Amino acid sequence: MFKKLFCLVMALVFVSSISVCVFSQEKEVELTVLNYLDITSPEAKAWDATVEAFNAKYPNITLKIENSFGEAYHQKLAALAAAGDLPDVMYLWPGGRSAEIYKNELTEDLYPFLGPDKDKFVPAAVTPQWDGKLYELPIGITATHVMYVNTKLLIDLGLTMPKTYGELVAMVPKIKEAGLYPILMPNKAAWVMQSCLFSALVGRIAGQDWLDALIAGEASFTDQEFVDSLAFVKDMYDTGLLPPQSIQLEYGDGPNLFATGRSPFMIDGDWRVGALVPLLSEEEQENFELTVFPDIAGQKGESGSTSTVAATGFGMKAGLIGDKVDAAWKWIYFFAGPQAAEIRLIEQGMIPTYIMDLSAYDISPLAVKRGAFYPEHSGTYVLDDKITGEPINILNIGLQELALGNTTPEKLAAEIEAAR
Amino acid sequence: MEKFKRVSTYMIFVFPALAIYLAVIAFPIISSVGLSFTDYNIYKNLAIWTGLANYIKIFKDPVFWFSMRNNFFVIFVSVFGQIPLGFVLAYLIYRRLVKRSVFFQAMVFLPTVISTIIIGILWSKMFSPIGVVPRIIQVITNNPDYSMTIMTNKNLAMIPIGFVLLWMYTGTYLIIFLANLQNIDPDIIEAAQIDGATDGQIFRKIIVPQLYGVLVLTSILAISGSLRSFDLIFAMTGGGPAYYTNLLSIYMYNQSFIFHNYGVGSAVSTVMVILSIVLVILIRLARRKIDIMEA
Repeated sequence: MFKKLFCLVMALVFVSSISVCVFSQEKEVELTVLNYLDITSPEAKAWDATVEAFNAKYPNITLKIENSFGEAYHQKLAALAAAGDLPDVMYLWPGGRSAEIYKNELTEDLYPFLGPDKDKFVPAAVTPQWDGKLYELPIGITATHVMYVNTKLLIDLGLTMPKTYGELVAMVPKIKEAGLYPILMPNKAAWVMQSCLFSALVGRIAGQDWLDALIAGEASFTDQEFVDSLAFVKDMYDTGLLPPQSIQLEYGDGPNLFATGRSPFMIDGDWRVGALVPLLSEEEQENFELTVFPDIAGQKGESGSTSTVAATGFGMKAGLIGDKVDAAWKWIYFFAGPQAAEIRLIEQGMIPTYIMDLSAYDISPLAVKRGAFYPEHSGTYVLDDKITGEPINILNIGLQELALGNTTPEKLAAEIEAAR
Repeated sequence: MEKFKRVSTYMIFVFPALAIYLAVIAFPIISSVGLSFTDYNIYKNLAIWTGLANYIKIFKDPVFWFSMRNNFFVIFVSVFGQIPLGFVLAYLIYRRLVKRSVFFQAMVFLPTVISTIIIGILWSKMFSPIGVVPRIIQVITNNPDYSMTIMTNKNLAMIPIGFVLLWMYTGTYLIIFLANLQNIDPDIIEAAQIDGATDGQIFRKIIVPQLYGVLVLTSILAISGSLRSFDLIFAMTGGGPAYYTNLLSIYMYNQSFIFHNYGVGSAVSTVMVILSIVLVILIRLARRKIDIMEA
């Protein structure tokens, strides 16, 4: 009897220990990730560190990552969506560029996943993005227009920070005489001018009220405010502020040229801090400032305004099931959450949307300046976040034609309005 | 019974290839033609019949005609640039009119073995304002402000691309012509030389007539290749600045994948197929006329 009981107890112990072993091990999950990254850029270091940290935290989740950048990324995502072959998680924009994905409900609403953790993010970042839903968890608030200034170079040229557009134009001969670009803004890629300068110019020249009216369908692209904004871009080329070479320079050429003193000014997005920091020593970074385009005569918008948008982040493919859902959310939350935010803060100076005490971190001088930039400058809309489809593409291409003198502001405005 | 067996054997052998052809070539072409008459939302798989609206839209779009103009430029460079140049270089090598002909042949052929995307990026960097080509010109002309404005000129932006096309694809035609030249019986050339024929006469009266068929074949290859040309120019300029280096294929790509107008994109592809067929028929007619004249 005792022998039988002993055997039974031993069998139960054996079975339960096996069960514990089996059930305590999390299932292996493979997650396909389509990421927006130029792997040759300095930002790639932060990405690698993020992936490494995620792998250490969740060893059972294998990330199968594919990187792409620029137009190629958007085209790839569109092709994958069209083929019904979206990856499990993908890098998305809050509006504009990802609109087709949202319109066709190809990604999941993240609000149910976020739950009460919503309060851990700055409110502006977790506002609805499309149809009352949150389709990607933003990692930051982005200012798409920043005017970077090399103050040392400016002083060496005997110049001071311009307060008005007129003062900026007056600097052109002296800067050109020194063999430098008056403003560095590589915009061979058509989106750069619209996103990094023109959106802020419309906000400044036409003002926020006009922009709201345009989006509500109560204002037209042919309104004088918009035509004036287009004419302003043309004037920047005509005055030589933007050299004709700008349109031939690759977007990726900017940080290197700027860091090596080829221009006292560079216009780009705030994300370029991440590319500049590795190129400059801490002492050199003290000579660089982040500001915005100077005041324009007759501007209706706020002085010192820039164009801002809730930043990008990862979204989840609609219809995922089982362990994939859990793994996908773990990655999305991890990427926007404290651990990845800390990596980006230290490596790139990116101010996170996840609420955390930033004073505890030893970050680069340029990153500190980036943090100080946001409260100093009010934000207006980024046009490609609010306007989608053909009008924005006609605008992007038209801004290049305008620069080359092959169209007029009036004609371009009429073409955009016609495509609306 | 014997005949049935033979036919069924043929069918068994042909079926796999025929099935693949129908699935990956014939079906997409036919469905693309069908889509060109619709407003198609690929995300919802919903097609609404719009008749000729997509064709009217593209024919009214100046960017479409500009893209077609650029396509004809690429065809011109291919047919009247790459083929004659490849032919002449092959002839020089064949007749050993240049020293170190093997090295020469390898150098001309080398670009064709490099990835097209890499070549596109390479030349884009070389023509960039901070690239090597403007720098060399700056040094030669002693003008530090020089930049290649030809790349931003609406009417001339395709010329640097034409140069790259010549550099890249001439090697392919060189190899085709060289292989066919080597099939010509050397005794014929020797006999002509004994009869006192000059190099020019040998070229015009013996070599060229023997290669008519190859010339027609390479022309067809050049035309069809030029019409579907995409990767090199897309990597080099992306169709820019503005749309000045757009081709029909890039225009089609933009319509489909950027504007999400899949019906319009399909209409462009249908036009490209028709254009390709018309040009190939014209070449065949030209050859027939030459044959009649020769006879």
